[in-house]
Order: sequence, then structure tokens, then C-alpha cells
Amino acid sequence: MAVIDFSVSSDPDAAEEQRYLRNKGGAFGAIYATQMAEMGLLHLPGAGDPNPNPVCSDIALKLADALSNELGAAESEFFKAVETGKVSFTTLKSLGAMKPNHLKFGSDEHKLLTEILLGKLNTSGEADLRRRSTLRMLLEVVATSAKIPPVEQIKWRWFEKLPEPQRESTSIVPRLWFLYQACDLMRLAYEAILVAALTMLERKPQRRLSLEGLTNELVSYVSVADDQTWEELSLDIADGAVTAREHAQAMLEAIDLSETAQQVHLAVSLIAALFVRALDMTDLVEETMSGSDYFQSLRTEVQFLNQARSAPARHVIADMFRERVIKRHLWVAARKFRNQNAYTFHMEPDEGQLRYRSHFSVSPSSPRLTEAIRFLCDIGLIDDGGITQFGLAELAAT
Amino acid sequence: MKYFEAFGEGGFHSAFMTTYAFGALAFEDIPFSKLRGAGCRNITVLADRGMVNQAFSEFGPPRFAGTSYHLVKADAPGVFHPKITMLIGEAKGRLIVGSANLTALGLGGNKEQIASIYYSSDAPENAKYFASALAYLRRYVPQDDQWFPVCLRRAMRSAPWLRDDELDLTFDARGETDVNFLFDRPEITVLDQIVACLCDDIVERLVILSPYWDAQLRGLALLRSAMDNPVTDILIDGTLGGFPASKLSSALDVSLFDVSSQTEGRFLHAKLIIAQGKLWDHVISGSMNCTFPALMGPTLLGNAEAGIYKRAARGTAIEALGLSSYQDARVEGDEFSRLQQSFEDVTTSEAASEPAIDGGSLILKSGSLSWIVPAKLPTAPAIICLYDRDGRSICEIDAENGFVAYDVSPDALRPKYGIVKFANGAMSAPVQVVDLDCLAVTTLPPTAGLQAAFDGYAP
Repeated sequence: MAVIDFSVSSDPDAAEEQRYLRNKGGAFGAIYATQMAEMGLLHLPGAGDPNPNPVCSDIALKLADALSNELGAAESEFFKAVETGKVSFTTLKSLGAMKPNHLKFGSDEHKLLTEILLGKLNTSGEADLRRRSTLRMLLEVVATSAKIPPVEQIKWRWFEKLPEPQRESTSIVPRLWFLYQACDLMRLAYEAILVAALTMLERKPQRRLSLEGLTNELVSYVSVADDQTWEELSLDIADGAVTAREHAQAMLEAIDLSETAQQVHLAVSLIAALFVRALDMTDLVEETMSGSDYFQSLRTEVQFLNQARSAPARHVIADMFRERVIKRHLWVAARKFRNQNAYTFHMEPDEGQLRYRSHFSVSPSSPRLTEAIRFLCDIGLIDDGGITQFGLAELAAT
Repeated sequence: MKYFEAFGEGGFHSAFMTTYAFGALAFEDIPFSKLRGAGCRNITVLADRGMVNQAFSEFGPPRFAGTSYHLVKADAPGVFHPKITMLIGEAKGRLIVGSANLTALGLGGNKEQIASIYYSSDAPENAKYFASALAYLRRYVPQDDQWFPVCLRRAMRSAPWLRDDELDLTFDARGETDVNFLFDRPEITVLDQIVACLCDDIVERLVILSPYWDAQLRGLALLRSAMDNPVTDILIDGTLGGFPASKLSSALDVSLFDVSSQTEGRFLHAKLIIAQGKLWDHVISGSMNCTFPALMGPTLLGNAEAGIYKRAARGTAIEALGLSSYQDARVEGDEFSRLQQSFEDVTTSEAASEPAIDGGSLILKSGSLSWIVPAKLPTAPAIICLYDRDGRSICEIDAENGFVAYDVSPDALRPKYGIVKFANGAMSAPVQVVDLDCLAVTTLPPTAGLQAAFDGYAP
């Protein structure tokens, strides 16, 4: 009988090159524990706690009992394999019942897991209610699509169809998802500018150029009248027929096609559109993003642009490229070099010039929506055909 | 050990450094903070005036220069190019000479070459190199610099091994030692120092690694001629900067090798001359590119440079320096014209850049600010704008007479830097204020601290 022997690879005392995981303690503490704590399944140790390990909450123990009941004999097979570090193919196949997508609808495990995920327990806190709001937003999107839409499409929908803030019943979560996408787009636009700068440096003799020369060349790619202020430029762009989504998609396409001039121009258009949109949401931005100015965010960048709104757009764009994008990269890389001994410069000051070092790829971030969709599938609220009857019932419930 | 880790070693109270390019952020983040953390507080940096002005114009003034360490803008007829780091302790010293600037690239990004000389009770004969280096720095510190003499006194006072009046600081031209410290001297060029170190050994092959070359290859011609034109291998990073390859056609026995595949994507900034002799391998590393200004020095309007000579057993140096496979990368055919074209492109693009305007020096002493007028003024200065450490404007001072005096009251914001504005609208690079009152306290040894100040330790 074919047997898989994983006793050495899963032994924390084995040599590093023989282990599955470089970290002897595995990934549980770093990746899963905090998220399970936020869901109320774990209690994390506090400072000075005599037990340094996370411990299960009462609800987690109930969930474990429910899982145990569903697994039957598979449970002991599982622990036996863990203890011996060996498992046969036959046993492995029987353990398939443990997969989340084998959850038995109507079982205690299913009911409890659904209640936990949807934040429906009496003990649910603010984080649970926000997760519940997000999952319900996902259900609404799937319900209108008759299928599971791609994550990118979902993020854009939440950005473009923001509920009116004055509606009392409106949760803050939709507005947070709007902000998430706005922040991510601002980051993408800045990264597009940085990548364009790298492309230009790479093409120069000796792969270097002065900061001023680089800034001027980048600015030359942006169509702007000499007497136009930043406010006038941004309002022109925001009032135009092209949406932020179209600006962003065209910008990412320009990056893929190495159309540097277009990439810079579209990045500025996207920033202008975001600037106007964020100004309309100043209260929300200030309320939810009131961190230190030490960290660049949508809030700090909109503030920077707003302070210069009456200045000539060309100067504002040059300042943004030089101070907020290029120098910021150098500053962050210098911090990493100092604090982590990590040399992460993509360009480097060199004898009065900036020298090209390496490129990086620009892509939208993933806020774990793929995983959230998988959870909704596992508990049977959605499937490949869209929302299920069970999901519709959940959506109808208050 | 990585170069920047050297700054974290304990047991040194003083550090004197020279550099061509100065990256304030990188310097203050890494060497400066490591030195301070290791208890070394008496820190002085000499950097090329033009490079400092350009860096400050583009990236702003440094945060701690003038208040926690001393930054001197140095001049040379060509450029001030040596890269020396000298760490001085009560009973030990380390002299690092190489190709690495005090920039992020020099500290961690480039492929650089550095060589060290140590002083300890086990190597007392090396004290002369440290004393020579201090004398060398003194030559490049402006006469009116008010803080450097204090730095020097403090360093000497806490390093009895440097106070030996018997130390011979003249260049040892006998060629009998395995190690020598080379730098531009009024009485002998760097090239002649190299030749002296060879001690009449007959050079059979010359291997030169240099990122920069002069258009006519005059430096190469001089170096080869001084060694009786041996077979010469030139090592370059062909992906950058090019090479004046067309000038090689007239040079016999010279081959070109592109070692870019061995640089792991990093800029090859190291400079090496390896003379393989009948008796020994002679290795010269340091700041010198293979150019006329580097090898001939300030006397012929060239550069200030520094390097270290080391003698090795015959046939061992190339392998020890990790260059044993360079002969697999011979440049041939069309590559010569591509390198020539790249070289011309670089020369054209760099000729177009405008230097930043020097703003002289600002000295704050006993609450009184004075301005040392720069050697060259584009036009009559109009005002000096003063700023605090956060870049906030403090005031503007009339500078029409070419001299200012300004008193800083005890409760007023202390100026951190100034910018000179000229009558024609031009502006200088930011000028960091040398705050002597502040330096007197912040650069004291950590254990002495305030008590030492009360005891009259401060100058």
C-alpha cells in the first residue's frame, strides 16, 4: 500500500532544507491566529501572560465538537497520521471528508460555522458585524450577476455605486470599501509613475539622469496648459466622459504595453479623478484615515494636492512626481536599508544623478475577497450558478 | 563583513571620512547612526563641494550635519574624489580606503572594492598611515573652518599612539613594504607612487578594472608607459557607460573584457590596478579611475584621490579578487563600436547638466551667525533665507555687502540651513549651518557627556 512519509519534513527539529516550512512553528501564529482571534475563535495572549500561546474560545470548542461529530472515524485516522508522520493513499482519500467544501448542509457544524462567519452570534462584536456587512455585500453582487463575478469587478462596483451616506440605515462598510479601492488606485497611479521613471532611466546612457531631468521628462508626458491650475485640470478630467475605471484600466494596459508616455498621462488623469472624488468625501476620508502623516495615504496625497490647488498644474505635477513619488521611494528604501539591512532601491542617487537598478510589477491588491467568496461557497450561500436559495434566504433576513 | 557593518564596531571615539558623492539620508541612516550607537561621536566628513551642493539642491539639506557631526565641503582642482574612512580609538585604529562613496549605492548597492589597514599594539608600524591620513585631510579643510581643529584635537588627545612626533609621514618610495598608502601629494603624483611601489619588478601583465575612462585614454597610456607597456587587459561593465574603444586601435597588446555578467546586476564601481610582475602581484585599489586627472593629481589640475597598495605572491591576486574568469568575456567585433557609441552618449548627456550654485558657509557661534562668502559668486547676493530643521522659514537677512551677521536669541528658533538668493533671481544650494554651540556638546564621548562639559572638556 502506497504510503506518504512526512515525518521528517514536518519535524521542527529537522534540518531547514528538509522541512516543509522554514519557520519551525509553522504559519499558524503569523497568518491564521490573528484572523481567528478577530472572529472570536481564539484568545491571543496579552503582554506578560504566563501562557504565550493562543487558546480556543468556548465557541471554537463547540465548533470543534461539531466537526468531530461529523467526521466520525476519520478524526482518529487524522490524528494517527499526525502522530506517526505517515499516511496511506487510502486513508488520505477518506480524509477528504474534512475538506471545507464537504460541509454537510443542515449539520450542527454547518449551522455554527455559518453563524460565526456571518457574525450572528450573541457575542458578535464590531469586527464580526463588519465582516457580516461585507459578506452580505458580496451576496448582493452575486445575486444580481447570476454568477460569481471576478473580484476586480466587485471592487469597481463597490467604488462606483456608493450608497448615499445620509441614509441612517447605511453601514459604514460600503464606504470603507469605496475608500479601499480609492487608496489602492492612488497607489497604482503612483507606482505607474515610478515604473515610468524606471523605464526612462533604463533607456538613458549609463542608465542615469538627474532628478530634475527625470522629473521634467515625466511632466512632459502630461498634457496641460501653462496657465491651468491643478484645480482646473482635475475638474476638467473629473467632469469628462472618461471614468476612473477607464483611466485605471487604460493605465494598466499602457504599463503592459510599455507605452510610457501614455502611462504617465493616464496616471495623472486617474489621480485627478480620485482627487475630486475624495474631496467630495472629505469627512469620510478624515474620519477613517486619520493616521500619522508619516504614512502616505489617499488622505495625505489629497491634502498635498488640495493645498496646491491654485498653483499651476504643471508645477504641482512636477512636485508630486519629485517629492511624493521618487523621493518617497528613496526614503522608504533608505529606511528598509537601515532597519532591515534590506537593499530595496529600484533607483539610487549616484554622483549627482539617479541610477536605474531594477523594475517591479504594478498590480491591483487583493483584499482577500477570493477567500471570502470561497467561504460563502463552502457554507452553500453561493455556487457557480450564482446565489443559492439558502443565500437568498440569508439576504432576506435582517 | 559588509562594508556598512564596519561602522558598528565598538572601541572608536573618532571617525574621519572622505567621499566624492554624499548621500545625506544614507549616511545619516547607516554609518552615522551605527557610529553613534557604537559610541563614536567625534565624526567629520569631507565631501566634494560640487557634489554636496547638487545633492542638497535635489534632496534637501541633511538633518544632523552641523549639529551632530561636521560636514566639510572640500575642493580640488579637478574633483575631491578620495573615499577614506578612518576610525580612531584609544588603542586601535582602522583605515579603510576604497571606491565606495558615502551613499546608499556605495554602502550597499554597488560592487565596490575596499582595503583596510589596522593599527593595534600588534601592528604599531601602521600608525604612520593614520597620521598621514590626518595630515592629508588637513590639507583639504578650508583654513577658516572652525570645527575641524577641535575634532582633530579631540581625536589626538584620546589616541596616544597618534601623538608620536617621530612618525615619518613622507611617502615611502623605497618599495620595500607589502602595504602602502597612496594619495595625491604635491611632491609626487599617484602614478609615480604606484611605480615606486613596484620596486623595479618587471610587469608582465597589467589588469585594470575601472568604471570611468578619459576620452583619449590618456590615463591608460601613462600607466602603461610607466610600466614599459606590458600586455594589458581592461575590464569594464559593458552594460553601462561604454568605453572609448576607438582609441584602443593604436594600442598594441591591449584587450578589452566585459565582466558585466559577474556583477549580479549591480553597478561595478570598483577600481583596481593589478600589475602581475616577475616577482610579485601588485594590487592598487582605491578611488582612482584609470584617467589622467586621477593618476596625475591636483598639481596638473586633476583630482584628489586615495588608494592602498598591497603586494601579493605572484599569480595569486586575480583569483583572490574573484576575477579568474574574466578572460572568458573578451570584447570582439561590433561590440567595440557599440561601446564607443555608448561612451559618446554619456559624455554628451553629462556635459549638459548645470552645477548647483555654492552658498558658502554659515557658522553659528555663541548665538551669532556669520556667513563665509563662497569663492565664486554668480552675481551680487541679495539676501540669505534661514530655515529651521523642519524647513520652516525663520527670517531673511540682507547680504548685499557680501557679509552678514545675525544674532540668535536663546529662545528663538535656531537656523538649520540657509539659501542665498542672488540679485538675478538665482538661488544657491541649501547651506547647512555649522552650529558650534551644539557640536560642542553633541559630539562628546557618551560616557563623558555633560560631566565632561562641566569639567571643561569642551573646547
